[in-house]
Parts: sequence; C-alpha cells; structure tokens
Amino acid sequence: MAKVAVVGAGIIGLSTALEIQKQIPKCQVTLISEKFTPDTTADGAAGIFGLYLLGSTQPDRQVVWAKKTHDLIESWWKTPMCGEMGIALVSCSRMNHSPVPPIWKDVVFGVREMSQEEVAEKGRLTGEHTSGLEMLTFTAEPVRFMPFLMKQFKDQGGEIKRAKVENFKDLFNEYDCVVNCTGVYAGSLTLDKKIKPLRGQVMRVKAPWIKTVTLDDLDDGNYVIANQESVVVGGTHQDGDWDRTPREEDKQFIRSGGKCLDPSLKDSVEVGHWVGLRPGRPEVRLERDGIDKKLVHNYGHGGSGITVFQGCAEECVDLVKEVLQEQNIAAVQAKL
Amino acid sequence: MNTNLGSIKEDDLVVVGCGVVGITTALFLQERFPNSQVKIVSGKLSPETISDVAAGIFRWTMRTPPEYESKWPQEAWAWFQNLYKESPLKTGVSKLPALFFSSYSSEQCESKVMKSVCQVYRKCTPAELNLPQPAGKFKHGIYLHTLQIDTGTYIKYLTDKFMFRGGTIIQAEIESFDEIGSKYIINCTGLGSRKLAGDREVLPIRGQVLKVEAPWIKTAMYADDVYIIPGQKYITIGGTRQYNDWHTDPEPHDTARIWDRACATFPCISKAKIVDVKVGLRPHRRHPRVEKEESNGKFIFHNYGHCSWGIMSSPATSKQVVDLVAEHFNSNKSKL
Repeated sequence: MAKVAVVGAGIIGLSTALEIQKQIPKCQVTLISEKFTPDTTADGAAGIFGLYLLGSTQPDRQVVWAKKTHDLIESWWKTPMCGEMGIALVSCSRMNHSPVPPIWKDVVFGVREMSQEEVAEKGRLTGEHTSGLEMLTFTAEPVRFMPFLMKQFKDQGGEIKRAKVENFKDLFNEYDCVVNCTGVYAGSLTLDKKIKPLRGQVMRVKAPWIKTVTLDDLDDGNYVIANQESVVVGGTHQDGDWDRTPREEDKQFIRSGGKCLDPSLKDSVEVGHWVGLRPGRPEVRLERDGIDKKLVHNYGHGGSGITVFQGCAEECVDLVKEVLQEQNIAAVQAKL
Repeated sequence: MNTNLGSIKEDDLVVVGCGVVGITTALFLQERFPNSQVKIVSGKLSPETISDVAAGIFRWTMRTPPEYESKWPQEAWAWFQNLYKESPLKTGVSKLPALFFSSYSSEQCESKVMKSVCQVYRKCTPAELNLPQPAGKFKHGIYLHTLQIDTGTYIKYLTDKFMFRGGTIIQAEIESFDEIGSKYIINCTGLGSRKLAGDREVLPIRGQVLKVEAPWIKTAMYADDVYIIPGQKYITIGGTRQYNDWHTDPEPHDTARIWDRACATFPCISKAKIVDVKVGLRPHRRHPRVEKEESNGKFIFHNYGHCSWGIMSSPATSKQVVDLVAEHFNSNKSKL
C-alpha cells in the first residue's frame, strides 16, 4: 500500500488529503500538522468566493481551479448539511473591479455591471467608487465545513499526526510521497524566499439585517461580508507582517471604511477582532520539487484558498500520482 | 390597557383596527391633523394581528386600482427605503435579494411593478435555474433586490411614535361602528369589514407558515408554492392559499406539506429549527377599498381588503385614505 504524507492541515492540506483518498483509494494518507481547525489560517475567514491576491498566477489556471471549487461548494449547498457546513447563497457586489469582464465571470452566477445609481449608494473613505459588479455566489465558512472534511478524512481511514515537521527529509524514509501544504510557514521548510505573510485584520459584528457581501477591490478598499452568526468587516493586507495582534489603527480603518460602505453598520454591535496571515506569493506554487523527487508543493494561495482549494487539490493529486508511478507503486499502476 | 370606549369624543378621529394598516393610518392622521385626537380601537394588537404572521417581503403583485397604479407602489417603496436608511435595526426594514422560480410560466415570477421599483431586476441564468431541485423542473426565474419588513419591529416602531405624539389605543372588540362615539371612523379592520362594513366581497385566504431559525439563509427563494423568506431573526417558510377557509388553528397536514415541499425543493433548509407555526387569514378583496362612506350620521373612511399586500401597500393606502379625510374637511369647512 502506498503511503503519502500531507504536511499542513489548513484548507489546502485537508482538501488535498481528501482528494488523494478519493483518487488513490489504495493509499494510506497521513495528515501531519502543528495546527488543525479551528486554529488554521482559513478558520477566521468570512469565506466569500473570490480570486484575490494570487499575483501573476496564470489566469486560465486560476479559473479552472475556481470553477471546480465553486461547483463543489454548490453541491454542498444543495444538501441538508448546508447550514452546518456554513454555506450560504449570497448577493456579492465588487466595487472598482478590473478588468471587466472578470476572468471568473462564468464561474459565479449572473455577473452584471451595477448601475450608477447602485454604485453611488455605497461610499468609501476617500473619493468615490467608479464601478461595480454584482453577482450571486457562495460564502463557505471554513471554521464550519473543515470539521466535516476532517471527519470524512478520518472515516475513510486517514491518519492524523499532530506534530511540527522540521525537515521534509525526515519523512522521505517512511513515506512514498510528501505533499507540502504549509502555507505561510513554507519559508522555513523550503528555500523559498517568495512566500510572505499578507496580514489581514478583520472585525466581526452583530448586524442580522445585513445579508449580502460588498467588497472594494481597490488596494485601500474595505469589505462587509455577511456570515451565519456575524458580519465580517475588513480589512487589511500588509505585506511581510507577521503580527497576529489586532492593531488599533487597523480597527479604526475598518470601522470608518465599513460605515462608508454600509451606513447601517452604525447600529451594529462589535463582537471581536482577528488577524490571519494569508500565504502571499507572487504566484501559487503547485509543482513538484526540483530536487527532492518525493516532494510535491501546494502552497502560496494568497487570499484565495477558499476559492481554489478543490481545483488545486485535484491538480496536486495528478502530481502525487506521478511521484508514486516513478517509484513503481502498484496502487497507482493498476489505476492507469 | 385601555378598554374604555366611553372615552371617545365626537370629534375624535377613530381608527378601527390596529394591524399594520391601522397603525400606519393612525400615525399619518396624527401628522396631517396635529390639532385632532387620534384614537385606535382594536380587538387584537401586535403580536396577535394577521400582519404579525407575514414574512414581510415587498413583492407587489397586487391588482392595484388603475388610477393608483403609478402612485401607490412608488410611494410605498420610497417610504420603506427611507426607513431602511434611517435604521434597519429600529424600523425592521432590511434589504433582501430574492429569487423567484416557476415551473409553470414566466408570468408567475415576473412583476411589472417590481421591475419598475427595484434597482436590480433580471431574468435568472440557466445555471441559476438549476439551484432549486430537481434540476430541470424550474424553467423560469427572476432575480431581484427588494426590501423585507420584520412586522413586529415595524409595528412597534410606528406604535411608539403614535403614543409619543399623544395617541391612544383602546383594546375592544366591536359588533358595529355605532358602538363608537365619534363622527369620524377610519376603518382598517381587514377581514372584520365583512361584518362591520357589510362587505360580502371580503373573504379570507388562509395562510399557514412556519417560523424557523436558519441563519445561513441570506436570500429569499420562491419556487411555485414554496417560499423561504429570511427576516432579521427568523426565516418564514410557506405556505398555503386556502380560499374562504376560516380555520385559525395550525393544521398538522399543512405543516407537513409546507415542510416537505420546502426541503425537497431546497434541501439547504432541511436542518432549520422550527420555532413556531402560525396562521393568518388574508383579507381578500378584488383590490383594497379606499373610499369614503356616509352611514348612520357617521363618516366612514375605508382602508381595508389588502389581501397579501397589507404591509407593503400600507404607507400608500394609508396616505390615500388620509387624503380623503383631508378632502372631506376642506370641502365641508369643518373645524379641525
């Protein structure tokens, strides 16, 4: 039986581990991670679908990943588990997005250019919005659906190891393939200098009348995203910043900008502030390692982990199959 | 609680009925006639009125009298828009994206009025038509952005204003308008007008609904007879339309049918927690009656028969009836 280790149990690692189980049933998958849900990067996220902070990753590739993921989330929405998994069908308005039409226009539902009247209703801290796109899509809250995926992984015979991996070489004896899904922490395990935290601070409030999502795609933009039990107001994306403590000046930016975008926030009640470190990289690293034949990389998804995880998991499994094939692993030979 | 009909004076403006139409009319009367005493007489008060059962979605499919077609919907829409801008929390008015699916015809989902008042109104895309189950059943769909009113909150908001401005509410059931000592009666008794106004055209259309907790539902969805409408606290799932059915108790068979159909069409609602089952008898008439009548020495200004459209049309029909009252006093040059 083939043995594969997936290092990192965030949304990328967990979905990759599940996809390996699905496509290579005769394979023992071990998920090794320091942190598991609800302590991973994605757990604090609002989970709105959207390609964001993926740098120069090839657009065609982004769209393929996004389509597979959106379709999967739609299938989750169509089940009774929808609510427990934190999936919601929402109207999403993206202000000042460029280019138009967006590359993802056929992935979500009903993309439409907003009228000037609609655009004018939303304010911003400085100046005005010039345009907007509105669509129907999903929010998928990782803190709610990741426990389901964990259970599925374990029920299907997956092994969990809570440990910090200091060096991938330590794993090569025991495992036929090692998949690196360490996200923002990949820099300490590889020689990759390009992976950096994109610090994101957000605030959560109670505002049950807010049922939609509004994002400002400009660099100094804010966003307001309805979740199941609270509304996420954001946010920041500070390059190279490892500080996980919510900062006062960011809170002010979030509060003021949020109220411009949605004045009804004046009646909201603050429930908390949180910081996540997005795994920022000029492009996603989804490839085999150039030196270690057993190592496959799947990290650096910027602010889009929830938007692309399924497509990336599927592409990653193709690479895992390649690795196993090279080692003449019977499990993989039989399937091809 | 004031139950004393004897406190009513001849010159009082007495509104009979305190559902959403009655309280709105009473408030508008206070504003138009600041030197008059406005009193309300009603057997039932919120939260026991029919208005309290409704989901509160602004969906204008009412047969409006032709002379008011270009007036009432726009006035009502503007009224609720202003309340939304004031405060969704205090007024109970939220913005609500909504999908209307039909397996029969496009006429079922389309609405000329909604197309004219809603900023966002478009046909559903083929992908959206596959959101309700089973795939392929629903061939027509409309997507729009409308408003939703939490009736309990809204009536309280209006009532607080009414009381603050010196209004009085008398809780009493009457068998005839003769029991009221004032010369001026503004009749907002809905179904009660069948007896009190001798209007045999008024008949109930019974509606049973479920009030559930399902905070992951952020978008209203209609599919033929099923509707799922989120409010600020609860989701309303409906419904029934039983013509000339006077039963006010919840029927278990109706609950089962509503629930089964909703879950079959939108499995995402399956894990909702049912909190209450309610019944409202919609006051059906060919269209609302808004007109003056002289009877037994009294001037009765009618504002009843709003069927499914009471909440949404109340600001417009209430203004209309207050205009009639003002017209009466102007032409009769009575003191007021």
